[in-house]
Formats: sequence, structure tokens, C-alpha cells
Amino acid sequence: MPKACHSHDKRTKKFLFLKGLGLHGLILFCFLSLGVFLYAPPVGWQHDLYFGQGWDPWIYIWFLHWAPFALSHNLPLFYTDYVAAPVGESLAWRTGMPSFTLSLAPLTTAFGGVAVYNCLMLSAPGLAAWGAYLAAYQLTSRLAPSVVAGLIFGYSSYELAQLLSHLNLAFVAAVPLALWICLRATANAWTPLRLGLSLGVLLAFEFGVAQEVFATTIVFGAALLATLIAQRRPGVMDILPGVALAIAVCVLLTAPITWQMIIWYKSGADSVSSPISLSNDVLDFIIPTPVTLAGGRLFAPFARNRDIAEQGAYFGLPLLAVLIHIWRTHRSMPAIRLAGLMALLAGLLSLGPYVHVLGVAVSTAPWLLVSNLPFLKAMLPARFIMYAWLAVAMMIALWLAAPGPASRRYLAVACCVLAIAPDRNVARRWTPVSIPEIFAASSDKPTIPRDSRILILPEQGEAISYQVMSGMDFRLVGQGYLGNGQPRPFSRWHLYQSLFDNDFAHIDIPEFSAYLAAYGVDYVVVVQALPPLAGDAATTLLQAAGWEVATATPQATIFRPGPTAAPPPTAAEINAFMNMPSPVRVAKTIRSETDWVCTIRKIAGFVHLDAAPLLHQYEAYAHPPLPVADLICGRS
Amino acid sequence: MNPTVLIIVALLSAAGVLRDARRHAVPAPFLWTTAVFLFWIVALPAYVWRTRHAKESRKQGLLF
Repeated sequence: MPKACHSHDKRTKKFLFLKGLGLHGLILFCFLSLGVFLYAPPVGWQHDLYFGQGWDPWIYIWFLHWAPFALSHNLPLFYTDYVAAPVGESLAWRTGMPSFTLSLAPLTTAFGGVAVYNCLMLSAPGLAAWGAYLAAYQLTSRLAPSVVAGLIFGYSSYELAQLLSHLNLAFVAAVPLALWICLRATANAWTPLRLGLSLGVLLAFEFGVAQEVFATTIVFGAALLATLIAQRRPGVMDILPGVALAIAVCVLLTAPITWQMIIWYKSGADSVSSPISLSNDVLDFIIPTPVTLAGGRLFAPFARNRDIAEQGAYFGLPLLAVLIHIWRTHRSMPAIRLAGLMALLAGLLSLGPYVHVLGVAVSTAPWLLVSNLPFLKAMLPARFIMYAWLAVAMMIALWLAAPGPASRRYLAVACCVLAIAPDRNVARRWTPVSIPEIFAASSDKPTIPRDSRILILPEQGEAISYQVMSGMDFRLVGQGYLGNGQPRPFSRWHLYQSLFDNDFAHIDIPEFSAYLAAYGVDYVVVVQALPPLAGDAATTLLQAAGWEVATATPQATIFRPGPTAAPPPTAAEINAFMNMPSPVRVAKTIRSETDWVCTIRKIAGFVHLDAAPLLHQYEAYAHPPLPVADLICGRS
Repeated sequence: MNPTVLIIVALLSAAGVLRDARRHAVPAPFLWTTAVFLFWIVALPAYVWRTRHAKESRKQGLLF
């Protein structure tokens, strides 16, 4: 009898497990379908469209191509000389997404990088929503509140904004899934081995999608654990061995990339944006972004982060009012209190090192403490807001699932969701792939032999798209936009800035000739794209440098070295060109010095002191040899 | 505002708060000092309000 009873229990458990699996699978299908419905291209599915705006999506498409290409050609995965040739650059600090590029390499080879990239982008919000739904379901055991939490997180302002350009930052499903695993491990008393393996593999996957998100997950996860330990919550100490094992598993799995990141730390960390420029303004929380349906376009000029893809802090007044109400009425519930504190912490840290109001810095902010520390400075504060969204989604789910009549609560949450709903005309941005015929993989390309070194002018970041669509047929000399930063040693030439600002009129012709010869440029391709006059200026410059037209098509002109082109310069000549005082650097020094001198004058005026002795001291000990008296304040 | 000026203002405010907190035996003076340096715009008004409130309470305690 007990044996039969045990068997019946086992069957019931299995039935409930399968039922739950079916339910969660159905919810996943619904979330993914919603993503496809919201973001499907308005002109129908076409293979020559990519999801997003600008040139950032091409970075991800390039990396999707790079992994199978490197593997099939026995090239290193984390170093390439296909951009910034012939020196090359490390890819360890770039957004290379090895989790995707390696696991999806067969699909990329079969369908192309653009198709795989589009699929990943369209699945990102649905998967993020599903992760938050699972975490909320684990907390509340209620379907409707968990679905609402999923919708709030998966279609938050953060997700909508990042979906415009940044695949690695939009694909954040691993963050709520990590929370779900920890909650489940606590509730079901998982063994440390089970928790360590599942969480460790998930964290390693996230590391391979976005190192930055992985690092911030560790920081906010540690803050959450520390708070729980301080509150002496039951079950927390039980999961610590599992979490420690997870970190160890993750470190082991990600060791090859981490090692490369340590080796290339200096150049990599220099290429990360400033935390000041990528932090949230106080008003970002209440001013709709251009992606928002309600009032988005009206308030667009007030947004501080000019890049729409980084404007993810808009919660809206209705949602903020609801959150304040939840805090006031339900903060006695430990889970709501904890979620509220985490949301507050993430919101506070997202302000960056200084508090800005309408773009003006008005105070120091807590991130100032760590914004200059090694590695931590690579975490960009504006993106911390994703954790605030996750905490808010959990708060809303707990509130909706709390005892008492819920219809009014759902009505209030519906208003909040309407306030943050996306404007499809802005959020659903598809861009056509525009490649000159000479770069297309199907063309015969008689004038550009395979593995040539090429310089493409004028350039606005699109050179890597030409390289990808050609099937990686050529190397890009001193160019190839895979992220911020200027590649060395090219940037040491003082023509570098002008060359890639398309300011060809101010380039010294002997220096340009030497630059092309020094790096063995085989061909220069002048693309007839925007801005049109830049193409003409580049042609004039090349002809003056002794280069001749090899082939001309309506979309592009290919130049090769003519008989009068300069021979490769000597090392001494290259050194001389690199050490020429750059007008840009001189102007920057003058600007910076003017700022310092004017600040001293202002402070002296403010406290009614004579500025002359202070300036004398400054001139004697800190000032470069510029005449202080001649610096005029108030001139930009 | 120039970040350097902000840091100078925050440092001066934090030093002032530390001095005041020690003089008036305010609990957790270093916590207040750190808070004022790191989040000047919120922590300084909060400190002023808190100490003023405490002083008023003390006065009322003496009176009644």
C-alpha cells in the first residue's frame, strides 16, 4: 500500500511538472510572438534588412561572421588583423559575444550573419520577459502577476532603447533567470552542486554575451546577498556554497577570455566610454524618451543621453506614483521592501559619478567612489537601470499577488504600462543593407584581389559592413569600427583624426602618401556615399598623392598606387610624422588651459581676491608655456 | 558645473559636517561625512534637517 501511494505521488508530481512546463512554454511562446508582432519589419521579411539603427548592429554581425571565419581559417578568435591592418587589434574587450558567435556558427554559415542577428534581436525582449516571468512566478506562484512582471521587464524603456542598436545589452534574459535559479534553489533546497553548475553555466553564458552585464550582475547580486545576510533571512546561508561554486565554474569556463582581457587591459579599458557621459539625468526618470508612444517626440530635446539606445531610465509618473504607493502600503512585506531597496540602489548608481539635471552637473553621486577603479570603471552607470527595472517588475508582481481586491491594482498597472508603451514607428527600426556592388560576395571583383589591404574613404563606420558582405575578402588598413577608441599606432599620425572625420582638405599630402605606403595599402576605395563632397575631396587628395584610378563604377572608385606614388617611408620618417604637433592637440591644450585659468579667475572674483598672484603661481608650477594674460574667458 | 568644483564643494561640505557632528555629538559622524561627500545634494540637507530637528527636540526636552 505505501508503495502504491509513493508511486501515485511520483505520478502526480510528474504530471504537475509537465503541466508547469507546458504552461511556462506557452507563456514563452506568447512573449516571443509579442516581440515578433511588435518588431516585424513594416515592409515584410526581406533578407537585406537588419534590425536597428546606425552602424552598431554591424559590429554584432561582423562578430557573428568572424567566429566561423576564424575557426575555418585557423585564425585566433580574440585577435584580428582584418581590421586595423596590418597591426590588428585584440577583440577581448570588444562586444564579441562568443556565446552566440560560437554556438550559432553553423546557422551563420547557412543563413548569414544578418539573418542570425535579426533572429537574436527579435527574440531578446521575449526571452527577457520570460526570465522575469519565471522569477516572479517563483516568488508569487500566481500566473497573471508574473505575466505582468514579465511584460514590464521585457518591454521596459531599457530594453526598448537597447533594442535599437545593442544586441549584447538587449539580450539580458540570463539576469532574471539567475534570480529565478537562486529563488528556486532556496525554495527547493538544491544541493550546492546543482546550484553551482546551473548558475555557473548561466553566468558563463552571460559573460559570453556581454562582459559588462555579467560584471554588473555580480555587483548587484553581491549587494542583494549582502542585504539578505544582514537581514538574517532564512535559507540565504544555505545557498552561499552553491553560489561560490557557481562563481568558480564561471571563472573556469570563461578563463580564456578573462585571460585575454587581463593581457589587453590597458588598450581595452581605454576604449570604454566615460561613465560621466553614459549616466542618467535625474529628469530621465520622468521625461518620455523618443521611443515612448506618449509624449516621446515632444520631450526628445530634453533627453541628456543623445543616443536613443542609451535612454532606458524612463519609468513615467504613473509607474513612479504606483511604486511610491506600494512602498508606503506594503513595505512591511520583506520581499517588497528588498525589491524596493534594490530598485532605489540601481536608480541611484545609474546617476553616475555626478548628479545631472537637464545636463548640468549639480552634485557628486555615489558612483564617484568607484568610477576610476580598474575594471569597475568599465561598467557604464546608465545601464544599471536594467536592475531597477527587474526589481520594479518583482515589486509589481508581489503587489498584484498580495491579498485583497486586485482589479484596481491591475487598472493602475495598465495605466503604467500605457505610459511606457513604445512608439512602433521609432522602436521598430529596420535599416536596408546598402553595399556597393564591388564589395558584394557574388561579384567577380576583378580589381580587388583576395586578402588585399584596403582603405575605404569616406568612412562613417560602414567599412566593416562592406567587409562582412564581401565574405571577409580584404583587410581594412587602420580602420574598422568595432567599438570606441582609436587604434594604435595609426592614431599617432596627426592626419588620423582628419582622415576619419572626412576632413580631407586639411590633410598634408606628403604625410598621407607616407601613411599609405607605410602600411602597404594596396587599394583605396572611394565610396560615393554621404557626404557627397567628401568623396570628391578624397579623390583630389589621392590624385595629389600620386594614386590613379583602377576601376570606376557609379557607386565607388578604386584607386591604386601610380608611378609617382611615394615609396615606403623609413622608420625615422614615420617617427617624424607621428611626432608632428597636431593642430587638434594644440587646440585642445589651449581650450583646457583656458578653462583652468578662467576657473581660477572666477574663484578669485567670487572671494574678492586678486587673481594675479594665483595665476602667477599657476603659471610658474603647472601651466604649459602659454601666455596666461592672453587667454580670454567666455570664448568657446 | 565643473566636476572639480563639485568635488571641492563636496569635500568642504563633508569637512564641515564632520566638524559639526563631532562638536554636537551627532551619532555616526563618519557615515554622515561620507554620505555628504558622495551624495551632497541629498545628504547635506538631510544632515541639516536631522541636526536641527535633534536640537529642537533637545531644547523642548529642557523646557518641559
